[in-house]
Amino acid sequence: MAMTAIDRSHKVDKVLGTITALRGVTAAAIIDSDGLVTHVRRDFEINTDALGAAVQIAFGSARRASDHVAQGATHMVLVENKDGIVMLAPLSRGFVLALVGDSSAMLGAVRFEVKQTVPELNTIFA
Amino acid sequence: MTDYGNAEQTLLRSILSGKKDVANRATLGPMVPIQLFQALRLIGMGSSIEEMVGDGAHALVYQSGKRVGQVLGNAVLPKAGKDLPKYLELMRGVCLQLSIGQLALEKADNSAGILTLKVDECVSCAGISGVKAPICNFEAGLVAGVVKVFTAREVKAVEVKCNAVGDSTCAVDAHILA
Repeated sequence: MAMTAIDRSHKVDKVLGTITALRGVTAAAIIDSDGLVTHVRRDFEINTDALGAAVQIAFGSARRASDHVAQGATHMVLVENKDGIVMLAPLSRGFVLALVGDSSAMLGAVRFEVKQTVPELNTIFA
Repeated sequence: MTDYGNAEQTLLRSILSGKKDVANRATLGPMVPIQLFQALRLIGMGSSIEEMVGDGAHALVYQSGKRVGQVLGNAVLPKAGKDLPKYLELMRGVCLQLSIGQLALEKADNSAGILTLKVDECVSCAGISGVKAPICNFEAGLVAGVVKVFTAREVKAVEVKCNAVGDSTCAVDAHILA
């Protein structure tokens, strides 16, 4: 039986909840191809319109730059900042998973969780 | 505020004033050929941006349109109150004033929460043909912004008809989200 939009939302929220339970992860969001934040879990206020567009542009720019060095598909974009990290991972149908972590976030653990999570989210969005 | 931000404020004040005169255009006047607008829209905010940011170009253009839609929507909302037909009629007037296109409500599906608005003579794609998918991301975003202001809800707009793919008009489904 096909999944309803409400079922899908609950499943996505649960997945995002698992990610934001990781140490130092302060926000997790799903952004569609138009830059609309379709789901978000966060500890702080975010301008979601601006975030959504910036995520799609940042991910698109990274992928386009990578095309020029012929390294194949982009699986993840990592931004290391003075006070934390932003991690972007592509999902199916143009969606992007975005994670925000503070300086206590353990990069390896977050990266591992993202790699586990992407197939699960793709199944939900299929 | 950045220089683009300052320029945006000046431009929006000019649009909302309803006056057509533009300073420093004494000889050439306020109008430009539609091809120039389309060059800026489809090359400047289209193919050239797409070369740099790939699929991110769609989000950039959509969100730009949404921002403009919200600004225009907020400007006319006080005159319309909670009257949707009046609000859309005022928006149609603004779109005609700016030659964006002939905006009109095509269908309202209240149970599904979808408003379908058509944009006849759409400024972005009039005269364009041979594309495989709708290209009026700016107008889709604009509709999203306009409907978001009226409903005070998040809106996902999807262009479902486009003159550039061979349809007789452009049409946008505005999905009002929970």
